[in-house]
Amino acid sequence: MSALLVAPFSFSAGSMIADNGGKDFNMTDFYSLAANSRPVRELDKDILIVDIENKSRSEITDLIELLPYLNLKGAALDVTFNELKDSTDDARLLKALLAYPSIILAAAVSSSAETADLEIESQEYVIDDYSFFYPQTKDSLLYGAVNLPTKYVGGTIRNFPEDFKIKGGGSLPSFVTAIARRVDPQAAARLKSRGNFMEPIDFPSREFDVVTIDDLFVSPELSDGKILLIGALGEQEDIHSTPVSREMPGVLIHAYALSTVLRNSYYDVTPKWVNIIMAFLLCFLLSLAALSLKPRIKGLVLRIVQLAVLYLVIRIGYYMYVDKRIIFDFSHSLLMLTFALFAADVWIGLHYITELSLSRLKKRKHETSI
Amino acid sequence: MKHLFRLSLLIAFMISFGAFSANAQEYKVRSVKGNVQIKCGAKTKTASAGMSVTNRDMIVVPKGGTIKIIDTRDSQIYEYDGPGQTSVTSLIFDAKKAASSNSSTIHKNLTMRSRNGGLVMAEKGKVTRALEVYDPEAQQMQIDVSMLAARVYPLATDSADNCTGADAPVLLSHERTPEGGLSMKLENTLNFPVYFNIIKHNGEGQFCISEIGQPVGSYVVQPAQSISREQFKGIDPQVRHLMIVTNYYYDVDELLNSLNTLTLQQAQATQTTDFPLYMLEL
Repeated sequence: MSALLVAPFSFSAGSMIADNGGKDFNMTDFYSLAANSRPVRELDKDILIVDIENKSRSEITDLIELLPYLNLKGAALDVTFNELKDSTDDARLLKALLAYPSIILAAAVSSSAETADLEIESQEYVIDDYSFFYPQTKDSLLYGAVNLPTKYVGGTIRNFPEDFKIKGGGSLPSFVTAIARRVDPQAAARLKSRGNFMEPIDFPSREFDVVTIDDLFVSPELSDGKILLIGALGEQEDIHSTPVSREMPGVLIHAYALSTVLRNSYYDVTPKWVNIIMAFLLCFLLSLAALSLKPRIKGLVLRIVQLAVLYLVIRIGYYMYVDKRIIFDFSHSLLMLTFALFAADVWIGLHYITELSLSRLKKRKHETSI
Repeated sequence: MKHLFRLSLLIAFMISFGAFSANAQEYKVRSVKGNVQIKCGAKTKTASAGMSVTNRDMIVVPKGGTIKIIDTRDSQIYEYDGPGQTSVTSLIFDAKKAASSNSSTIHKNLTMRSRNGGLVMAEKGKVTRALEVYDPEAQQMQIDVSMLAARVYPLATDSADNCTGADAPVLLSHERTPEGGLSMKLENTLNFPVYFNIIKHNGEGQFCISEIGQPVGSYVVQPAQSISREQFKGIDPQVRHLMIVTNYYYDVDELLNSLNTLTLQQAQATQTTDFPLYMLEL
């Protein structure tokens, strides 16, 4: 029952706490948002974002030509050059990329029609959005899929995928996995060993430095020992909702996901059966309490218990999320709590009506006998 | 022996002072919002990103201002959003303390609205993506409409010509035409967005939205932008059209409800002047 109604509940929970969206709300969004509001944050020293908003293909090529001369740990380009433009510029871009073969390039996938009805992790994908030079470079350069699947179209991005099963055999790593494989194979192996298709992104309390192409030309030392993530921060098509911000550029989301992998800061998600057992136990205990309490105080006590449990759930959930890095989905528990209290209300009401009817009947009998 | 003890104390002090001084330059301003001042001894400087600060510097943050300090040794960033004065050491200490407290973090993020204590701003239940782009600093805030209505009501119901908009920091113009037309123009010369809407009131009846008003929420005009609207005919010359300009979002439906409630009750609500309000009769 709780599993069926968990989505409507989420909406009511969304109105109770300062969520980040209202639609597509998840309890962990509140924990992320709260954790992100803390006054201590950490600057990620490994990742540097290069903003290429409003930069021409020629200017981006200038940057790529500069990359071999920088002291980098790695570089990834979160851009697809779909169309051919100026032939000289296009040739120069391709030449620059081939001269820096350790760069990770972006492509996008979509689920194949045959498997579109399956669960997201069981689907097969086709690479359908890539740069004009993909056919020439797919064997010599490493590509990663920039897709960040969500539950609904335009929904909140909370997770990143490890890799995508490609129709016809093989797989394409996600953009983040591809970068991790290049810059830190051990971190990539740790990600693979977890065996999950999707991993929650560690968003809270982290910041990244952002520079422009011009900054890098003026002060190339800014990039020393860093992984460059090159992308446009202000491109409306690549702006997405996340638990900590309604509008976050895609390249920044990749930065958070990459940071999660490199720092091994994963979250463990409790299995669904644990959530259901927890919900069942909570419902059982509350029903038991409702039956054993005196009728006169039952209603008041149960309301107080309801508020206390709600507060405890938020406190415990936040503690587990922030301190233990465990995501516990309390939605089922809260829903079952509501059902238990509703059942208790009905029980108290019926009990009161029965007692009232009996006492009136007794009184009437007594009056008749007199 | 006593001298030796004193000497060792002195050496320890010097070493610790040396370490302290060495650490003193490890802090930098990462970002600043508002006119934040740094007091270093007798000197006062305006804080800017990249500026080095020491443990002993005092930071003065005005209302609405924020400063982020980064410890370059461990890349930890500490935030202080004032208003008030604090030293760099206290800022870091307080930030660490607040960040480690789960309960205060949760309580800060739970939506608790209060109508008491002169609170004039409230967190909006919903933030639109568009407004987040338009006004990221104020996108989650709105004026408490009961407070706004308390100030608008006496001005709107007073027959005296007190809604001239003369004190408005933006450029306002309006015109009524003989054909029964009405036009208005607002030009935002400030460096932050302004919000406005236009309501009408016939002196006895209820308040409602003007023909040239925005029926949902309020208009928002960004810096260096102007907005104009005109109806060519059909405006009743006996009805007062009032432009209400503020620096925060307000929902015109809620404002109209509050104003109509005050009309029914013939009440004088308690007024606050904690937020700027400019009214112009069109």
